[in-house]
Amino acid sequence: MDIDEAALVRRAALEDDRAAFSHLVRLHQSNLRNFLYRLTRENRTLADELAQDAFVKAWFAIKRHNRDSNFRSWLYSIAYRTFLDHCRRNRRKMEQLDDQMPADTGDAHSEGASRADYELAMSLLEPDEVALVDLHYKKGLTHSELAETLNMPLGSVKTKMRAVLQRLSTRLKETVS
Amino acid sequence: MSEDKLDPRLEQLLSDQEPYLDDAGFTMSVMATLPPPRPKVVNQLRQRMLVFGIAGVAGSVCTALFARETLQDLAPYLSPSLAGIAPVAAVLLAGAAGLLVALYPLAETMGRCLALRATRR
Repeated sequence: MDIDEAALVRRAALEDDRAAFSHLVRLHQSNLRNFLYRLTRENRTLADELAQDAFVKAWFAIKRHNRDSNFRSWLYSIAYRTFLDHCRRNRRKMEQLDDQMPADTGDAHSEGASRADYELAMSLLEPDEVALVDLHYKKGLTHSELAETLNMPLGSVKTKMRAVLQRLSTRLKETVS
Repeated sequence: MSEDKLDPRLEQLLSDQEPYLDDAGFTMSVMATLPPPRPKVVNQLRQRMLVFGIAGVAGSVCTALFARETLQDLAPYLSPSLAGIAPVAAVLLAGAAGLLVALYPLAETMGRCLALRATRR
C-alpha cells in the first residue's frame, strides 16, 4: 500500500481534511497504542485512552506541525507528553500501577533470559528509559529523532541509552544465573 | 555497554516485532471525539460582509454625487422646511442616511461573527 503520509498530513493541516487525518490515525494507531501500553506497564485500557487523547491533541496541533520534521516522531512526542501529564494528574494511580509490576516467576532460567524476564527488567525502568528503548528498538526511531521526540540533547540520548542497555543486560544476566 | 556489543539474547528480545493491534473501532472512536467540523457559516458571513461593504461604499458615493441634483429636482414637491436646507447640508444628510442604510446589515453581520466567536470560546 503506497500512502503518501506527507500529503495526508498536509491535507489534514491545511484543509481540515478529516478523512486524511483518519487515515493517519489508522496508519499509526497500532504503534502508538503499543508504545503507550509499554509506558503504562501493560494497562491496555489506559493505553488506549491515552492514545485517543494523543490523537485528539495531534488533530488540534497539526496546523502547527513543522512539515519538515518527522510526523511519526512528532506524534510520539505528543503521546509521551500525554502520558507524563496523566502521571502528574494521577500520581497515586500510577503508584498503584507500579505495585502491579509483573512478578519474577523465574520459570525460564534453564533456557536463558526469557520474554518474561525481559518484561520484568523493562518494568523496572523509568518512563523516559522505557520510551528510549521502545522507540529506538521497536519503532525504529534514530537517536536524532529520539532527541526531538523526548526533548533531550542528542548526547544525553546516547549516554542514557548506553546506561539503560547496561542495566537491562545486567538484570537479564542476574535472572539467568 | 555500547549498542554495538549488545548481549545477543537482549538484542533478540529488543528486536522482536510487536504484535499488530487491530484497529477494532479505535480510529472511529478517535474521530468521534473530535469536535464537529467548523460550520461554513463563517465563510458565508465573510461573503455577506464583503457584499454589504461594497454596497455600502458604492451607495454612499452615489448618494453623495447625485443627491444634490435629485433634491433640487424634488424641491417643488418637498415641504418648505426640507426645500430650505442648504445644498451642502442636504448632500451630507443624504450621504449619511445612505451610509447608515448600507452599514446596518454590515454591523449586523459583524455582530453575528463576534457572537459566534464568543460561543466557540
